[in-house]
Amino acid sequence: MSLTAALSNALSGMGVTQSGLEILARNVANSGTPGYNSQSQTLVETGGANSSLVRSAGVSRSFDAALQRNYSNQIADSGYSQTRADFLSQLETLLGKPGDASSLDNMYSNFQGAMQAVSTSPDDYSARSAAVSSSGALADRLNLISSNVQNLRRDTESQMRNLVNGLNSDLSNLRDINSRLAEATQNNAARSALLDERDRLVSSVGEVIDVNATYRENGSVRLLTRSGVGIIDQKQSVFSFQDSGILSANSQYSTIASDSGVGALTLRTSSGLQLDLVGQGILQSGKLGALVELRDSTLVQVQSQLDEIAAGLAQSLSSINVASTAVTSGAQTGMEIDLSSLQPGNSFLLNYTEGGNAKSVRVMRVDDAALLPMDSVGVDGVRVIGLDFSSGIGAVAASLDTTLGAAISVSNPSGTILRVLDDGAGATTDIDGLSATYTASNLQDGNLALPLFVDSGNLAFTNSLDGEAQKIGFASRISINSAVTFDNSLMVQFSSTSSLGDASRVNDILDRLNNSQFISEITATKSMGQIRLSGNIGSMVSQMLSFQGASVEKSQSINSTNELSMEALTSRMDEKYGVDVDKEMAMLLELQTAYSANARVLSAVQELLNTLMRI
Amino acid sequence: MDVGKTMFSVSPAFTNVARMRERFDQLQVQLATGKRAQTLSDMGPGRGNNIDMRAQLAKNSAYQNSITMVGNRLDLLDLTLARFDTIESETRQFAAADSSGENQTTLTTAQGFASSSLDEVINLLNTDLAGRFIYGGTDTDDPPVKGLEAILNGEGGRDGFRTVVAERKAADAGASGLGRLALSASGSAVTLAEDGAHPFGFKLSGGSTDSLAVSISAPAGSPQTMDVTFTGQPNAGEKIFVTLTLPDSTTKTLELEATSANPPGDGKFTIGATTDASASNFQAALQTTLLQQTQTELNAASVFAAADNFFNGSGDTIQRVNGPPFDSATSLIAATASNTVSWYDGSSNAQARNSVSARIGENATINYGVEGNETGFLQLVRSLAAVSVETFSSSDATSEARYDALSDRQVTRLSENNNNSAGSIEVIAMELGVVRKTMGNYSELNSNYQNQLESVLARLENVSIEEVAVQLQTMQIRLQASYQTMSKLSELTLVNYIR
Repeated sequence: MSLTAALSNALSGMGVTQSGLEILARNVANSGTPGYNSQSQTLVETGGANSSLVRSAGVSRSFDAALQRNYSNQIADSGYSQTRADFLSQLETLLGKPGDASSLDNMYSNFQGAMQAVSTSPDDYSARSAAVSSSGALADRLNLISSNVQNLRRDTESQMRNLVNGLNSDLSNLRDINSRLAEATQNNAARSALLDERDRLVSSVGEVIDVNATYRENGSVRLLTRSGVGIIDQKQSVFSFQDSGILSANSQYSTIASDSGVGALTLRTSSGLQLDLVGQGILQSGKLGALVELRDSTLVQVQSQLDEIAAGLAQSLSSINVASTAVTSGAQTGMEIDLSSLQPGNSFLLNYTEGGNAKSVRVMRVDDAALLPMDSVGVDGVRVIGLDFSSGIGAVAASLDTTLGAAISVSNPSGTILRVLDDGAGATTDIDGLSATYTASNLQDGNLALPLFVDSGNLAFTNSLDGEAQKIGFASRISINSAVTFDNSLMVQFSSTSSLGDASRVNDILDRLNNSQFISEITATKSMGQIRLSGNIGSMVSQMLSFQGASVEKSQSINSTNELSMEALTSRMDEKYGVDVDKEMAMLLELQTAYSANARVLSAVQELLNTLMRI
Repeated sequence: MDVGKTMFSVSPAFTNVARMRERFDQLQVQLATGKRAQTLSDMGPGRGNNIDMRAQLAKNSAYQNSITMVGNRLDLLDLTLARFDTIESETRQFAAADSSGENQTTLTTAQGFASSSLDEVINLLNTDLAGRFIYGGTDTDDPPVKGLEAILNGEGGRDGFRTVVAERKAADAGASGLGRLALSASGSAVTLAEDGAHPFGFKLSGGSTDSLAVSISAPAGSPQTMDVTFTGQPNAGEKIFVTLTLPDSTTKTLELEATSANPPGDGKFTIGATTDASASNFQAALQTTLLQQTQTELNAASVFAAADNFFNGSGDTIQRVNGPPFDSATSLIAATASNTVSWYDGSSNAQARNSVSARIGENATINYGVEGNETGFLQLVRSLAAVSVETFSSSDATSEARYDALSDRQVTRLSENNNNSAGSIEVIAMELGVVRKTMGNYSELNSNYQNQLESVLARLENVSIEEVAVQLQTMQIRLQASYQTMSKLSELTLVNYIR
């Protein structure tokens, strides 16, 4: 019956148009919703027994797995570079622009300039007072930058905590969605909404931690980190962050959990395996990765550079050299030196020739038994041996004698004298030099050295390694010797009888600032590679500012590159997934027309049927 | 749930416009500050150079400040040295003007003039520039020289110059007033003998005569003695000369003329009947002459020797006569801080100029110290002090001769012939002039370097205003165009056209 066929055709058409309108309305309503993928209706021509109908075969949601994978990768990198750029721009503000009144290099130049003025007018109270205040300002600046760097590290930890919480809740939501998607019994609209939610959650997780997403047939997603650790499938892994307490310069990461002073980031996989995210290098990108790198690597490097500068300041002004005297004993010749003033961290240097080769050994006073025995190569390439001086020089001499072999004899003839002799008749060794350096503690004992920069509590800075190395975090503790603040004539008068017009001490200070050379440890970060600071204090400041400036610049340029890539991807996604209102409106016109046409057909058929019935 | 802002469907067109706006703001800031970079990272790879250049600039300006400061000090030194030179020549003129006059005003004003000049010299040596004493060498925080009162009369139980002079005069004159010489005659020989091996009094230097009848032995022995032996009778008019060395290293030759007159008169002796008589007449005449000379020449020499002892130079200690008793003293003894006023408390270096130095460049140091006990000042102070402690009056017979002896010595010590010796006022002025020249050279070098560095920095850091203004203009046009297009596009949607 062609009439009823026409009727059913028209009806199916109207039904399809209705569902089409429904989808269209949904698209238009969600055109501004973030993460909404536009949906469209699939129409299928169906052949019935004696008619051909149109049937809606379901809603297809626009989705491109490859594009989505790209997007997940990119979002992790963007999150990473964004976080880095944010933190480093705060660092840049701290360091100041060279030439600004508060920049580190300017403060150092002011300090030198004020000392120069004192050198010309040592008897002038106001010149000395200006010198004391400019050195105080320098120390304060180092303290400020240092404490802010540690604050930044603390910020990374609080952000880590928040991110981990968010991550866990996202993952549990995602697990729910996965399980619901696995059931196939839903209507299409609900299913699409679930899929949209799934994508949003994957992006959210992907921003925090780099993921590789695999999409299954049923729509559920499996997430792995780029390094291959499973995060979620049917079951989720749980992230956790454990606080470590107050984070200070001394709190650094260690693979041994009991030594580690920083918060612990762990992952417990669904099979019960506990993983240390930091130690095992699981995080490669994403915000968490950036935060960990900042906390453990970038900011630690900044702090250590500040510490080197502070240590250089303190040591250059307060080191006193002790000369040795030549001595002979029978056929052996050598030198001896008085080690009474050496503090932990101070050292003496022995140069000798053995079998035609020139060798050097630096012996450092290390009283902490946990660090001994210590025999390694120092940053300047000289062999460093650590020895305990607390039980007397005799023990030192005995230990050194054994270490250096039979051709050099080391002894302790009396008191605190150390005597080093060659092998005399054997003639294979020669003692070339022996000198010691110690830190001045007395301000007016006739030595030109001045312990102007000291550790907190007016302790001398001796670069001691005992307990916690004194250099770590020194930039946050460095201050001016309170005796000098109280009486600034101590800056000039190196003995109680020297005149205030005698500029020898100040001239010596200027020479030391110019000529003392330092070499730091090599520090390395992933983004900037290796660096070591070397030279006098001025060049160390310059190198540090240069390096950090380059580091900030690099992070900003990487960030803007990532932003551009992100934009390109989102515009592509916009094209593919986005709702084009104009197109929807055009579709609306069509549907409107189709509906009215179908309705017209329906009413026409009805009329015809009525006509038929009236026969 | 934290939705990344990247998921908001913001059209790329909008983000581009936002970016343009940012750039526009950046250009505005550049225009306002005149600098290309506003932060450390913006400075680019040249930041290391920039920092180093700024450090160099700061050092340079510190050196320039030092140069200015030292320049002020050198100015003051020049001013005071000129005054010293004037005082020196005034003193010389005063001393040379009326050396053998019977002009009473010279005698009565001499001591006052010397004393007020000495006061002025002391005040000049204590010149300070804002609390920094420039004649003290390294000791710039205390006045280097004590006051006139303290120096002349002593203070706080410590002896001053007057006491030292009195002791020295007594030691040089001896108890007998013969200048520590003993005169004796035996037979036809007259013997002059020093009374001991010590630095005081007359020392025999030699003798000569133009008479064949007299033989004079050279001074020999320790203590020295010399004999004048009358082998015959001298003729009238023949002279016997005895040369004596005085304690201040000057010499005096006594002249005794043989005469047949009796009484012989000043400076003459009567030829006696026998050689013995001549000898004894000679002895008497010599005695009178010696007594006179002790009170005049030896007195002056004594005062100056005391001045040399009391006003010690660099490296010397203050010496006093070892006694009491002073008139038979046989040695000098170093004075201690508790028994004698020390006139100069500043520093004493072998090289006075090195006592104060200033850095005016990376490896450039200039030395401009002046110490109050350098030879120029020393001689001036000694000469003035010597005359200040003596009194002259017209009623005193020895005043004129005493004054002449003193003023002769003044003229010698302050003469222009000494200008070449190290430490004289002229040499000091010249050395400081050299220092000023060096400083001027460095100042020029420094300021040239400063200009160079500043221009390089400006070139690296500054933006050309014109360039920025043009860029701003262009950016403004682009922004306006973008804004207009965006607003037009936003109105263009099919929704508006469907009834």
